[in-house]
Amino acid sequence: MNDDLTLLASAYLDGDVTADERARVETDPELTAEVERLRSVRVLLADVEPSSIAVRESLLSNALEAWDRLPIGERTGAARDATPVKRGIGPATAAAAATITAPISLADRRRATVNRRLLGAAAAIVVVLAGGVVLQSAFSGNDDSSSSLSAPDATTSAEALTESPQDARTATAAGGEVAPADAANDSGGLDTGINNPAPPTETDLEQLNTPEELGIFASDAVGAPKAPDVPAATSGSIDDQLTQSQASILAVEWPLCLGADFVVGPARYGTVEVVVGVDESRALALAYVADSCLEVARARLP
Amino acid sequence: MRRHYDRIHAVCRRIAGGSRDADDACQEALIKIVRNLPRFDGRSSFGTWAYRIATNASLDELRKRERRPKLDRDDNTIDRADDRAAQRVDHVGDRLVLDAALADLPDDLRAAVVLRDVANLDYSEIAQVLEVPVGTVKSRISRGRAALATRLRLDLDLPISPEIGNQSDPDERPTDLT
Repeated sequence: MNDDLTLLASAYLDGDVTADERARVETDPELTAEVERLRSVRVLLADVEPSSIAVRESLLSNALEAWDRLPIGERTGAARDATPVKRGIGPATAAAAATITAPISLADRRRATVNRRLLGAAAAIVVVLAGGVVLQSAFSGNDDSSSSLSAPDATTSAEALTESPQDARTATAAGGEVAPADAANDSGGLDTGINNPAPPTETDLEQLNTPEELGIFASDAVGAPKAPDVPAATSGSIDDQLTQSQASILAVEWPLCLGADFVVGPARYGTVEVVVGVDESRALALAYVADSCLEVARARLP
Repeated sequence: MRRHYDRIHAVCRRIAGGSRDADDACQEALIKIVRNLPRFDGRSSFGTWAYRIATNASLDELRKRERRPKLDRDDNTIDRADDRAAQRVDHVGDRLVLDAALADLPDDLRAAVVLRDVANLDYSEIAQVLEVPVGTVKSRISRGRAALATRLRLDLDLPISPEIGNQSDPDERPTDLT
């Protein structure tokens, strides 16, 4: 195999060939074999054993200490601002720069830990309260049903059994009983979903047909870029942490493939159900099949 | 930083070789990245910028290693009572074989291949990192892959599976060599 053919096989592996070159590779058994040989090298190389958690945390901790030792004036980006910046930087790049120019200081990290614990406790209380409201609403809903069943008009009772609780209440009122004032507001003004029609069970996937739509979908989900010089204290806000938590949850639910840093969500690309991930370092939106990590489309983030 | 750590570490691991050298290179790269963050102007993506630092830190680590005095004897001088047994041990440690094959590659080829196949950068990004034309990047990647393929498959008699595993009977394999 001469160098030119190896070069062609390598370029084919990277998807950097013309249609003619692609056809040539795919029809030539020798070239196809060379592609497979190079592909196996790629697979071997990409399978890097991860470092242990202890090593990772130690390395990151040392790096963050180096950040803590930087003079405040340097941390705020004064040096960067003094550097002439080439015009025409894309918004995604600017957002990336804004995101990474303010690591959280040690004091803020400690404060964030406390905030996170408080936030967790508050979330637990909200969940318990919401559960109580749901249970209360369920019981009061049963009372409504029983009152409608006790209505003298048998037809109305039959309708009450087949219709939604809200319709049942209407039917009861029409049957001559006055609906209690608190029955109409039995959920205390909270929309628990019990007295409302159930939402559709099918998940409505976003329909994407072009790479541009994919890029816009991912960009919208990622959100607007931050201001370039956000102070360290605000960049580590609870909202940011929540966003990271949501990203982690999405990552658990769908696999990270093709170098995606986080998952934006599911969508339908053409007729294929895909997971949309974002590779932040390269400002790419990636649509791929969750099970096989097969790439369906990719687009630059707008 | 945390988000980019794994790929930065992978780049260091593949370019610098041994895990201790890779950790040293990775530490050096992370500290350099942090110290230079205020100067990062967004002209390239953060990943491209960070991988450039990681690549340079790894190559520096390699040069440091070459300057270190060698240990008491060269591996080639070890007497092997049973060449085939020794070869089998070599094959079981596929990762070590891969490390050795990478170590034999010239630095410029190794960096190009690693940035493509490990960091997953495209040709133009690699050209930015290595500060060479895109055509040179293509050529280096091609030659690097071919040299690795040759080293991994032809210099050794036994085949290495792409899934990093030996081809011997499962009962004969040790449970963990790493």
